[in-house]
Amino acid sequence: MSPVLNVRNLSVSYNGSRALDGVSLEVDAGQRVAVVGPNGAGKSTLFRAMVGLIPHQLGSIETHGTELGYITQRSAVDWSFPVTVHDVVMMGRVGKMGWLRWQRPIDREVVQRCLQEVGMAAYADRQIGELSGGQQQRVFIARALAQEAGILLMDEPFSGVDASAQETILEILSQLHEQGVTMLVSTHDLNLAVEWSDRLALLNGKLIAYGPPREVVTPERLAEAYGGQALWRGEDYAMVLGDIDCCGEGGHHHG
Amino acid sequence: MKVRKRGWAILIVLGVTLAVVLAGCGTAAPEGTASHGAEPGDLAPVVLGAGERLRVVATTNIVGDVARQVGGDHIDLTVLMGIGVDPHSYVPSPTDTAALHDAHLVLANGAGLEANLDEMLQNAGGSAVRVEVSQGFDLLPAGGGHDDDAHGDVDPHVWFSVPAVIHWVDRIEAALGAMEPDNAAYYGQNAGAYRQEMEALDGWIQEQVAQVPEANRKLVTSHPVFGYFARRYGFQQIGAVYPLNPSAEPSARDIARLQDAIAQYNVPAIFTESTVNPRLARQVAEDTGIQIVSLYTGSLGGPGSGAESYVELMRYDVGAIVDALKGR
Amino acid sequence: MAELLDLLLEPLRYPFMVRGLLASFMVGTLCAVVGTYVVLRGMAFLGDALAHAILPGVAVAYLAEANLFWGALGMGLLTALGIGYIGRRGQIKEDTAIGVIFAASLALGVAILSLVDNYSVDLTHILFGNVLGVSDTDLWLTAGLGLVVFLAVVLLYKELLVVSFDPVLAATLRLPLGGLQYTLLILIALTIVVSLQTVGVALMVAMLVTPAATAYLLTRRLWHMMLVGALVGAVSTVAGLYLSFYVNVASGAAVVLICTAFFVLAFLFAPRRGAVWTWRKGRVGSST
Repeated sequence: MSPVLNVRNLSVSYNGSRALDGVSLEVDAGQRVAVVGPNGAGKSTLFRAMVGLIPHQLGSIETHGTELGYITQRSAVDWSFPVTVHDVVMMGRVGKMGWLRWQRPIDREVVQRCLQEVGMAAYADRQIGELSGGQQQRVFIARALAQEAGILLMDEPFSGVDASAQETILEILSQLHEQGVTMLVSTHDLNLAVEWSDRLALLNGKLIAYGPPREVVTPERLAEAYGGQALWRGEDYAMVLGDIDCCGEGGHHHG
Repeated sequence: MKVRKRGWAILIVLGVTLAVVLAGCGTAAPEGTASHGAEPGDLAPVVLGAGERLRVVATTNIVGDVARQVGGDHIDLTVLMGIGVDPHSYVPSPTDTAALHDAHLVLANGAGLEANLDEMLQNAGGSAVRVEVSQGFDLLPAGGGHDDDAHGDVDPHVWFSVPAVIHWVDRIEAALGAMEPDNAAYYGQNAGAYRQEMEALDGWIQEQVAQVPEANRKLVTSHPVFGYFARRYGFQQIGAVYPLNPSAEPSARDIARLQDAIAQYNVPAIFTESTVNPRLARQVAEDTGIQIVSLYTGSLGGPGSGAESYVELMRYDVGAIVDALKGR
Repeated sequence: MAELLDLLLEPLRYPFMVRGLLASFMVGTLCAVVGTYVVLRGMAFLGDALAHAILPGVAVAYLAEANLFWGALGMGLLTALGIGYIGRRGQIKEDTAIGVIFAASLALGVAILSLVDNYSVDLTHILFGNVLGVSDTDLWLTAGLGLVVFLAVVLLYKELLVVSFDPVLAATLRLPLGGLQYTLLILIALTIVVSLQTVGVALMVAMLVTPAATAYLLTRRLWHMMLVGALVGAVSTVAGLYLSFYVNVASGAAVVLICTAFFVLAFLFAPRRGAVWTWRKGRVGSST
């Protein structure tokens, strides 16, 4: 079975510095991939290069049989823009509508369906600034679904979102997984990444490791990604290390 | 990418549409028509309703003053350029344009003074007839020595020669009489009385300027407006502090040329227009140690100025000129 | 009541007023619609610069004794593309690039004009508009070009919406970002050229920004914003012209002041967003 997404030797530079250096990874259909790394590691850059928003100098990106949908960081959106939830999701259909055409019944149907899937159908007429963080995230997921993209790239979907909203999003992701949607999610939350993903990519400019999460997340690899000292700071990493210590020899594998 | 190509196709289609639309509505550059208005003799009588008076619009307030003298209270007179307005930078207000639309007769100085009058009249619409009051007078060529000219080929400042204004009176009388034959006698009476005043004024000016010795009969002004005055009353118009456009900044070269001229001709005073900023003239005068005298040239003065009518304006200006130049 | 009717009908006796009102109405609506993008994308400074940048083109047309419209059009398109190009290069901040172009164009325009004697009347018209001097030709040009711009906005509505709201999505959908951005700049330039005679260069930015900004406070959806903006623009320009007729105040300035008055009203009293509402909410407490 050929991978649905194949990134080969991707290198991206701008302003004279190299943001990504020779990143290669393969993703099979329906897999859940977490992309993890410190700030400035190039997680956003990777996703943006994959959708063609920024140019890459070397390497290639191939998809087979489906398209990429990108869900942007919430900080990058102008929440005061005069658009409703419905309008935002409809934007995902623009690629399907063609130039000089208006919304067709099929487009309205798809938008309605996608909103229902993420549980936001009741909010269709709200201006997006009126929503909470979690709700906004769900709207953007709906938009990617409306694009009929089979591969979703989600840029830090859990940042700035409270615990219950995070739960809701995870439920939606789990629904999507059942439908066979391939997902790549970047996050700071190492715990969550390990729990949720089938494959974990540890990134810091270059790809340090990529594979089943518990194999990838070793003290050495983490030290390489985050730098020695950072490893011991903060509650994020303490739990993970604890898990590895306890389950290092043939512990459970999730998913 | 199919979509990308379509994007550029749209742009091109837009561009072509644009070009076609604009080509279809192509405009010719407006020609500068140099018409001279109608002759008073050719004017047809106007039909007036009960209580309606002949509506006359005068462009400058000097023409307006003379028109009032002849028309008296039998005309509805509107003057476009108020006190102190510079004809070169005059922009008609909506009321002015409305007045042009409603007028029967438009009296203009002519000789190129009102550069945009054609345009203004065309824009305003309506059925007014235009008469240029200076037309037919012995006009001087423009500039008085300057290379470029804002007005065209002739010098429009005819009112500094009293016979010119008498010529105006004749034409205005004829125009009003032709348009309103019932009141022709009234207009004739007024015109006659005013003509007498004009002749007295002319005589008075001759007396006054006799006090100025030959050597001092040089007029250095901020705008070469005194060509007709010079010709009529025996003066010489020298240079200008300003280039012909009073609203423009003079270049360094213009200022230097003037200072040279002053030094060369040895004049006791220079004269500036009331409608123009005198700061520069003052600066030049400071450098050369001579007197600056400000005169009323293109417009009457306001209430209490001493130049509220044409006659007053001439008395004021001549008085100032003679005072400044007769000494030494 | 009859008196009010008289007041409204009196200026219509004069053909120059009728032409002026038609031109103003068209310009008011067009500027507001295009101005929606100007406001949402923070392009006010750019719009102002573009308006001033056409001055050299107008000056050259003036010297050549051609219709000023063509000079404005040529220069406007040139500047729009130039600003777009510099912006995409990213060597200097776009803000800086705009500032430099702005000042240079203004200076160049004045320099060219000063070569001609007696330029002050026309400069006044260029800077502050000459809506009472609109000819029949001008009216047709305004209508024709205005229609083209309006059609483009309508036909490209969803693409321009995506590009303005989320360039990332636009890239993902493979929309021609560059082409669309240039198109928007060109549409703004054309709007400016069309509106030049009505409001003039100096006050142009007000026509682009103020009605749209007013609408922004009152609406939640893009096309609503355009509609309300167009309404505000149309009412302001027509009212401004009436004011100019009766009070003899400069028409361009009157229009802008009326627009601004609408904006202030919206700013204070807009439901949910107006200053009065948010102040009251603050006093009542944190209930909703």
